[in-house]
Amino acid sequence: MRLILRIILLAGISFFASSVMPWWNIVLVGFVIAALIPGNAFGCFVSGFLGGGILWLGYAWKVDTETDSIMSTKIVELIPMINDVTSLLILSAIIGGIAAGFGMLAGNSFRRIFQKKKTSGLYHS
Amino acid sequence: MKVLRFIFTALITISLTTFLNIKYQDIPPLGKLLNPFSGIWANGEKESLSIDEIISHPNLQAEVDVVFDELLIPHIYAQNDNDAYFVQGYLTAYHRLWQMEMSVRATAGRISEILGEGALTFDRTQRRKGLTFGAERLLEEIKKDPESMAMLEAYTNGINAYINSLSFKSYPVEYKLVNFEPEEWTPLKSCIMMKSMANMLSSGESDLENTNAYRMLGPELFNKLNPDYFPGVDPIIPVGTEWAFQPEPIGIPDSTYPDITIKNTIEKPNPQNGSNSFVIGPSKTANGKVILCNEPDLAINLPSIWYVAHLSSPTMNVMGSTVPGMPGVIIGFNDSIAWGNTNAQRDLVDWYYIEFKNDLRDEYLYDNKWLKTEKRIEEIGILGGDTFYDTVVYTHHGPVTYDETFLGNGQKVNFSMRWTSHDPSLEYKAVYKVNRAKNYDDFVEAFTYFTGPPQNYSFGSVSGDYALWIHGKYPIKWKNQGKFLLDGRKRSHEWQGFIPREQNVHVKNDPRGWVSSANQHPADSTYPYYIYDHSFEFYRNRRINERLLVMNDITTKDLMELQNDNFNYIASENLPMMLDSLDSSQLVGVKLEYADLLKSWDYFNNPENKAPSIFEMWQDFLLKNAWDEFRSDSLALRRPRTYNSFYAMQNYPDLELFDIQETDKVETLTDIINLSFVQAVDSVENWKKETGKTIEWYKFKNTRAQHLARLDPFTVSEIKIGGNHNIVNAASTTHGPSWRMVVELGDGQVKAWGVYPGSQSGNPGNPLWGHMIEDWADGEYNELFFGSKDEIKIDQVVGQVKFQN
Repeated sequence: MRLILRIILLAGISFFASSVMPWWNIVLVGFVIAALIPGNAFGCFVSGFLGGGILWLGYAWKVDTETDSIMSTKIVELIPMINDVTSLLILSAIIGGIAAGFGMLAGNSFRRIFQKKKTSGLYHS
Repeated sequence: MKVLRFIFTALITISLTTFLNIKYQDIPPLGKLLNPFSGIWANGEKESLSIDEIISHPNLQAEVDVVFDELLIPHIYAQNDNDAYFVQGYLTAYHRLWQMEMSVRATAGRISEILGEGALTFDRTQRRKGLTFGAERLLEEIKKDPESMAMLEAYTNGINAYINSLSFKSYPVEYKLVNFEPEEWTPLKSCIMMKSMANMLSSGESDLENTNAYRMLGPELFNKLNPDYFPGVDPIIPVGTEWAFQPEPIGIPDSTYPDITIKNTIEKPNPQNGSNSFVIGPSKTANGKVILCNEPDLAINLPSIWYVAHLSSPTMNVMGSTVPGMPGVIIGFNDSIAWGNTNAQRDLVDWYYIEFKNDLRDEYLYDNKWLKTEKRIEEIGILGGDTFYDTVVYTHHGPVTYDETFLGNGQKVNFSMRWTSHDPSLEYKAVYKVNRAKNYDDFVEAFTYFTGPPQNYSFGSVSGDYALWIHGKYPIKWKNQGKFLLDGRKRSHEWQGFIPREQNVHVKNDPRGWVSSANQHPADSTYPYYIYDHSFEFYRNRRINERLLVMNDITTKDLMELQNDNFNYIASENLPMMLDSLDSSQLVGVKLEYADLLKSWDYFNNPENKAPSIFEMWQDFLLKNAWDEFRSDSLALRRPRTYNSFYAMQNYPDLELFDIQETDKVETLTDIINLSFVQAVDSVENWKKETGKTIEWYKFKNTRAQHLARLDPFTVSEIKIGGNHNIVNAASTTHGPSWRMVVELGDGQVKAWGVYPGSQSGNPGNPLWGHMIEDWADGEYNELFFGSKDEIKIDQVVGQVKFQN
């Protein structure tokens, strides 16, 4: 559940943050979320990757559909190995995903500095 | 341990984020570029116009209404001049910001700053031509003229208001792709734009190539190939016009030229730049009105070189093509008059040999005295490298462009550039005045402020006048002065003065019933001043005048057809000779087929014709073979122009130069005509094999509207248009009619039509990107709305904006 919560929080907050901040807000937002919400490293990276990826994919897809792919069809010709708009969408999603994933990973390891070693499984979700 | 782990993951995250945010070698900042909120995704536009409906700025003095018509042309209704120019600047930047900045950077030699070391030689050339130096002198004069300066400042404020409203998200896509930021606009930049025009139109010359060729060929052969006039030249001012003035006297000095050769010269403007303009008087038009037509044939780029706008204020109501970066209308019309122009190129750049006292280059010899030089240190920023400092020495002639550090071979080659565009001038005052001109006298007076690039200005008025004036500053020269390298040590080799403005070539209400210009000789040899240029036009002008002579009851539609005329004058004059020399008995297969095709050709370079493809290749190979002597690694040379070449073939068929040097055989003209035909057919056949295409002229020629940064997906290729250079419809591969305008004036009314190969929007992600190209290729025109804001029909309005304080 925390995985889904992190995904929703990340996508939601970064969506709004993107209207006032540069693209790398997704790294910061991921960091903060993972620093506040407990979880393991892998789970954090995955939720960052999925949250960032879904947000970037979804929004890029929306913009692209609204504009009839007018820009993306031209850009794909400029990027080696990218041949169609779908690949460009996926590439954007992966970049957003990785950036947010690492943000969460860093946030998670930050949280762990202050986490006392406990034997109980309280912090293990 | 935990801390270490955090530091480790944090470092990875920061490095990754940084990597995705900056350009690293050839890898662009992918995060910045591909995020859907502000990256390239944000540059696609849903509608053709997406601009705020209300724009407020403290520099505005009153409300300004702007209506965009369906071509996205802004109609600016301002209550004062300041606001009109402010809004012109704002909206031009809205559509063309990146283009404006790139044009300035290219002219000022500031490309390395954004692209790196590869552009250094280009940048150094621009600096060494003193383009910014000239712009600074222009600005100094403008500052003394409050009207012009106010215009420049308001325009600048408008551009900057737009720039300051931007965030990364709203940057033009090219900024994102190349990874740099818009820079503040200044009045100097608008002056640099004026010098960009001068560079394109008035810096062409072959003086050093001539010097080399004179040495190689000897005087007799050189003059035979490069006469100043030919029989049958059809000048701008009709042959036989009398010159009712007393010309300024000129002393002719001893003309021993410095005998110095040079291996390479700086890049020259494209010789395919050229234009046509004709104005038909009331006696020849169907409805008794005046019709003015103009098309500047320049590089066909996207975004286009022109931006159409309509400016209305209490002092003016003017419309036409503007140049992004320059306030006012450059080619256009107002309530009373219309004006157009073609380039009036003459040799306006001369090179002076400089003898420095010593290596310090602080002093140079002039009239047996040592004069002090001035040095200008050009700082050229280089992306990813150290700043390059280039010391350019200035003499009183101008910048020493060629020296030991730049294209010179050792100390000997120090050539100083004398160019009219370095002189103080006030071109913007001419723009300001002509935009408000009411009649012929106003038109003439306006351009007395115009130094250059000199133009053949055509004129028509609602009162029925039509005229042509060559406006600009021309040095008075003795015969051959400046055709070759001159001696900077002798006062006698300097320009002795300038042609008085009122003695410049002009004609008003010519009895022929029309005036026209197409970059040909301005006048016949009876004009009292010596005229020389390395590249006058010989074909378009004759076609236009021959057509106009037989045309009567002329309508605007007839003239649109004439602007799109594809008659190949070169072929009509020379193909019969070429075919006569062709040994048809030896031809089989495809060669025979092509020869037959040429024999039945009507000389029209229409888009679907195949014959032009073969003819143009044949001509290319023929000229290459004829002038193989002019291809040299050790000497800068320029082969004779097309007209001169065919003139030589027709009149001196036994010229020894027609022999191909590298073969043992001695080739005659007939031999090289036959050889060239075989080479042309082979080359055409190869092209067919390689591309899998057929050879319809438009496919073979491949006219394209190239994106300024040469980005292929933003370029429109294989435009279905005929013509070529030296044809009235001058659409060659990368050059052509960059703005076609037809204006009808009479009965107190002005009606205008226009089209250009591009779109008002400079955004490749705009639905209308390049939308006028097809109409342009088909010879279709748009009727231009030129009324008050209440007259425009609702269905013609794409958007409205209110500017306010």
